Amino acid sequence: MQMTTVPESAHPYAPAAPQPGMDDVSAHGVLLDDGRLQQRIDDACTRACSAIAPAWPLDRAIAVNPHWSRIGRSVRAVAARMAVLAGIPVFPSRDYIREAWQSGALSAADLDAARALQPSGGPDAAACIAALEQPAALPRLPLLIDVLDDDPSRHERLSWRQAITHQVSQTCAAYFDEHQADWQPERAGGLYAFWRDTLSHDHGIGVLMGLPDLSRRLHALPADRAQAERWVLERLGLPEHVWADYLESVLLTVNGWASWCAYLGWEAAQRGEQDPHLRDLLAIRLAWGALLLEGKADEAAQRSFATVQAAWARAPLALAQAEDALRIDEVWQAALDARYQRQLALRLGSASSPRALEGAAVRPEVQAAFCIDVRSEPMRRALEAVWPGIRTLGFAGFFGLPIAYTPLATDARRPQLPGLLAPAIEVSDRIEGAGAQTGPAHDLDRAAGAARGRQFAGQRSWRAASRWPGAAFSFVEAAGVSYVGKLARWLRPSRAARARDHLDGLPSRYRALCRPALAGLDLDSRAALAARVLRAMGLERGLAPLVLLVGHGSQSANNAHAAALDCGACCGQTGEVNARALARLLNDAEVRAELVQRGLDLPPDTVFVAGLHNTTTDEIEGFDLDLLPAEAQARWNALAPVFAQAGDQVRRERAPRLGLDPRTGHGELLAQLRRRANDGAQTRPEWGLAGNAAFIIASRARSESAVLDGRTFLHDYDSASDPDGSLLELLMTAPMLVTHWINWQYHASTCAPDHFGSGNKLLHNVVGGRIGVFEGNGGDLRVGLSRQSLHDGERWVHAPVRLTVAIDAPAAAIERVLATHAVVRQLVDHGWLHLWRFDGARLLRYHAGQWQDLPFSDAAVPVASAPTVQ
Amino acid sequence: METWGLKSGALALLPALLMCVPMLLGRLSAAEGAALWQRFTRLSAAALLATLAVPAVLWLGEGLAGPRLDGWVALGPFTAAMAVLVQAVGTVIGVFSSRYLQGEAGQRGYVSALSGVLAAVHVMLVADHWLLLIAAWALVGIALQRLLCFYADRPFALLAAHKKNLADRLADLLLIAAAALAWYTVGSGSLSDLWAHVAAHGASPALQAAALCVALAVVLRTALLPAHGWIIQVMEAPTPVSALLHAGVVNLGGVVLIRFSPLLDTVPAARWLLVIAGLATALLAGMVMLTRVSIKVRLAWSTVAQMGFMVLECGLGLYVFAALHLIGHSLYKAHAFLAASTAVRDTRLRMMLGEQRASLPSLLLAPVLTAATVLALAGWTGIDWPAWWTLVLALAWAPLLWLPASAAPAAGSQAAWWQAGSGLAAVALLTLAAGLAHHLPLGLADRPDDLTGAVALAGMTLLYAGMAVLQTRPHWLSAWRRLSYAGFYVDEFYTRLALGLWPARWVPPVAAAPSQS
Repeated sequence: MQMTTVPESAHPYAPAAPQPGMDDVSAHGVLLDDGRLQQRIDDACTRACSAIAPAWPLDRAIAVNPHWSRIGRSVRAVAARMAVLAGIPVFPSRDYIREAWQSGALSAADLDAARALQPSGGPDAAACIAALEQPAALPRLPLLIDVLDDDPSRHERLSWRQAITHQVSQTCAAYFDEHQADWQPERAGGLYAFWRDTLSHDHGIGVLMGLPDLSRRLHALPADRAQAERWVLERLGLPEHVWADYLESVLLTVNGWASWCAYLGWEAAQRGEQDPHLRDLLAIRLAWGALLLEGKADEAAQRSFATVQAAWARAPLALAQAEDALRIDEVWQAALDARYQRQLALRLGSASSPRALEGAAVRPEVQAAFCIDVRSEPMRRALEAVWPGIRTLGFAGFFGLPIAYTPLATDARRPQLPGLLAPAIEVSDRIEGAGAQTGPAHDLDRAAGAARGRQFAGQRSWRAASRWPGAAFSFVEAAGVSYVGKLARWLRPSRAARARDHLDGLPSRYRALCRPALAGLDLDSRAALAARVLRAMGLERGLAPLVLLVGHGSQSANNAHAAALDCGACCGQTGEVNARALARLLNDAEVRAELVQRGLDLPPDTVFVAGLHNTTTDEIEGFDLDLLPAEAQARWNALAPVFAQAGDQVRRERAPRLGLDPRTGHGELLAQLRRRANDGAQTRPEWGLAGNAAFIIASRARSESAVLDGRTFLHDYDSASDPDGSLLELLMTAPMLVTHWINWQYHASTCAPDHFGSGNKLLHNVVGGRIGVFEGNGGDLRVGLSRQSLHDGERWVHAPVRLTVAIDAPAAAIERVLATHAVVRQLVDHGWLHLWRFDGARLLRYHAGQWQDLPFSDAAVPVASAPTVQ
Repeated sequence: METWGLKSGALALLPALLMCVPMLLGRLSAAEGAALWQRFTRLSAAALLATLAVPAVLWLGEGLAGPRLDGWVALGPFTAAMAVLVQAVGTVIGVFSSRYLQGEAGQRGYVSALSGVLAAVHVMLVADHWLLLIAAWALVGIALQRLLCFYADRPFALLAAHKKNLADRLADLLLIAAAALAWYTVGSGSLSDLWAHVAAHGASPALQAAALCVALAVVLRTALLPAHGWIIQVMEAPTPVSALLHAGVVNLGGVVLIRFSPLLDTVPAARWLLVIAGLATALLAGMVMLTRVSIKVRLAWSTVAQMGFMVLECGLGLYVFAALHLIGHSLYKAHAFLAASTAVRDTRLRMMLGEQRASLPSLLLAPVLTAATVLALAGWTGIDWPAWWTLVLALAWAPLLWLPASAAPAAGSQAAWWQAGSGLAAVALLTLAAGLAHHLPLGLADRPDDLTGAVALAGMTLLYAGMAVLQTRPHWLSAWRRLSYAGFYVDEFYTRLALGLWPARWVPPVAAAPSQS
């Protein structure tokens, strides 16, 4: 075993985790006994694997920060690692910045504000501006397969790196697919064995790689995962302190599938189990090196080793060099953030209107709780403007119910809560009429279940006709002509309302009566749950007679990424089930009585109504209205014109960004948006959370009169009713992490579209029915947002700014959370988000452990000249 | 094949001429975006109207002025129907693209190439002369090539285009050889003259060789095994291009076979070639399709299998069925491709449905029941297709009657009866639809051949048996699954050959891997 030593002095880059026994190995080159070596290999592999963030499947697509496992380092350090290990950009490209700078969107004041954040000794303004002319010079470390790929004809075929990614990706797709292939493989031996078997029967990949004799080298394949890991770490002779980095670099060549495996690991961890797939995937990628080495003469092999060793021996230097070069990009990122923050501060500074502050004492006629989602902000603002009798509040869209939902008479259970949590409560459907029951309730459930079973049986038989080859041949002859109608529908999309797939197969007479309800909870637990949710929402006193719980959902057709537009807090579903289950719980007379017993001040006339905000068309629909008492129904009906007018205002606000004319008539604009929602050829049904930039945790009074352009998450919080800070702790450890995930998914998909974006929708090819997409034929599994979700064809619609979190709470309470939760501390200290605090009428930012004035809070910049938000 | 006497041959070229306008617009006009697409849509709709109006005018109007173009163009009910189909599908694809491509660079080139494909297809459909046919077919390929390489920086797009090019040029050579042989024998390049000659004198050895060349050219052009690889790999172009390719271009070989039926009928060797290539492709590609893990690749393999079946029908002499297959498959597959991203929603719906294997008794009984249904309906309605075809249909419909091995407890046995009942109703409906469609006035007649029919029946029985084993004892087939998953190594062989015979640079110069410093 060959070990290269690196002097500790040339080691400015310190890895986050401790490295057991690094010194004695690298310094003395001691041969290790087997057990300890195995332990070290395990450690390195575990560390590399833990660097990969999970990617949820398409039907549960929630946003994730792809660097989530790397937040233990500063953004710049991570940017350096990504550049050196994989050539992945983290900061916005200098081209993008240059354009913003030259167009005047980024001002000298922004640059100054950004530089004020840097420790002294950073690049000066002139250096920053000069650097925009060329990309940063960043070193890159090669992998063994890159070094081996050296024959003169290599430019006339796929590079081995590309080809290997392609082969590994195809194998993973076959292994993990459960819903696409009708003829499934045997996969009992695990992923590594499956890949080994697949490769030994693959005679095509060699041709693409310029290695027609590849199949004769297969004997060189390590037999199992442990051998593969051991082979590379022993044979390659890298210094031990770069093992984990080398392995992470290897995993980043198949980052898409690695992220899928990390998701399986995340799910397993929630069940208290471990998942082996990510380690298998790493071993597969390593085994490819063994295979390619087999074809080389000893001399060439030694040369390759020497090249890799020499390059990686300099890894700490390369990382330091990259980190240094990226100082400029860090400043520009901060300048981009400052551009937005300047406006945010201005708008929030003038926001606290006297009406909002005094209004808190008067009982409102209607309260409406919306999801914190950025798309709720324009709707809430519009509702408040249209009708002062309504008061809105923001809360996570799963409404605090940690549930999994199973549609009636099916096995299709799905989580409806944030990805950070595991479901603890079941929700199922009940069939329930409004008036007197005609029979025992369960009879209706059974009858509806049987009716659905019959419908499904018919569907199954019809599906068989186009599924099996023999049947499909004759099916198209007999029934192909009936597709004329379906084809014609592509010409002009309909204005139909949102399809409700969880009711599929239910006869229409049951559809209106099918209501989701919490299952299996006794009165005590239901009351406890209700009390907990009401307290968290700040709905303990002063409730309006009508309280709306408004979830949200998107409407799009032929969209593989539809779930990414739905509610992230409901795990990529609409908020309908959560809102309805909660409204039902809170309207339950037994629960209400119990809550009063527990001292909650719930007015007897208060009624809860579940609703859904359609974020594509900005319409609001209500549920279970037939169960409401007459007064509540009248109140709801009186709201209809309010919803219509508010929706119209929001649609007008959104229209220009969608390429629609905001001066179009009310009905026509709504019709255009409905058509867009049903248009299967539309790659941009709505802009989702593009533009998201801030998270405000404060009472609505702090933001009520500010126009925040649908770029802010809003969560209500009143520190006066949270003396022990427990609610604040919850908000900073759950919703704040979720908003950070969303913010960085958009950031990473914009700045590194080739690695953390899913590419071009026009080429998307759904893998495994739900796992993810390929761009075209193959390549790696593509995770993140598509180009069409971020870019309108001419410019980026999302500006890659880091989230600004503004909290209305005492400094001590915030600092207490920072002190207790390492994750929150890391996010703030390492520059993954900005932390602000409301201090009376001022805003302060948290920097280097202190609360400071904002660098632009003197409002030196007149409002009129503030650059446009996007 | 029936054709109408053309008082004005030029009129038959009207749709093609109309589609030439947007083709040139894309090149010459400065219009961009919505304006460009609006012009395309209008012209495309006009061409669609023309495909509907021209046959009516030709049929009704006597003594129309204009050049007759005898011996160069001809139009019959079948080719007129095909023109309507291709233009309708092309219009839908164009309108879809106009919204789908918003924000993409290169839309003018796209409009131009799309119109070019449609114009060339129209010429090819009415071509009554070898030269026109060969040139138009080659033009279809050339215009399509530009669409397939819409993203010219994607290596697999270029590799697929290269492989397609090789097959196409080979097919061109075969067609030229066939044309030379026929022209020499008949003394005219007109296809109508060729049919008249065959009817009068039968097929000489030279014409038999010509028929074989045509059959082989179709096998190459229709993405049958072994030249199917490119069609699997063109997922590298925008979705509507795949829809156009799978619905309007790859099946043109079928149109040629149906038009050449007067010649092919007299050349058993050519028919056997079609039966063997078609049946082998239908069976093998059908099995490969079941192993695919991404939606578009599954659809592509499905097309290969379907094309195999269509060519098989031509070989069997079931020209009416082949024509119906062409039309039905076009509509079905165009929609399936455009809707490819619905796959996720579809999966969610299927997860509610629940996946179940079929029970053994239902696997055995289903073909018996379907055979009885098809026979009864055929007897009742007086449909006269050969007995072996009745059995092929019975095997085809059998999966509709497969019942789950273990019924979901919530639904109980009631659901199984429902499925059996609704399945039988569907079988009856499909059979009647097939029978009705068979009577469409396409101007074609079947000339079924019993010996090849028996071979086809045997093949389809084998396929059914395979499906039945897959439902009940999947582990018996694990070696076959591996072969199927590998596509039976056919494309590997073809790619190796293609790159060996005709080396090409198919990787755009990109710095994919880090350089060694």
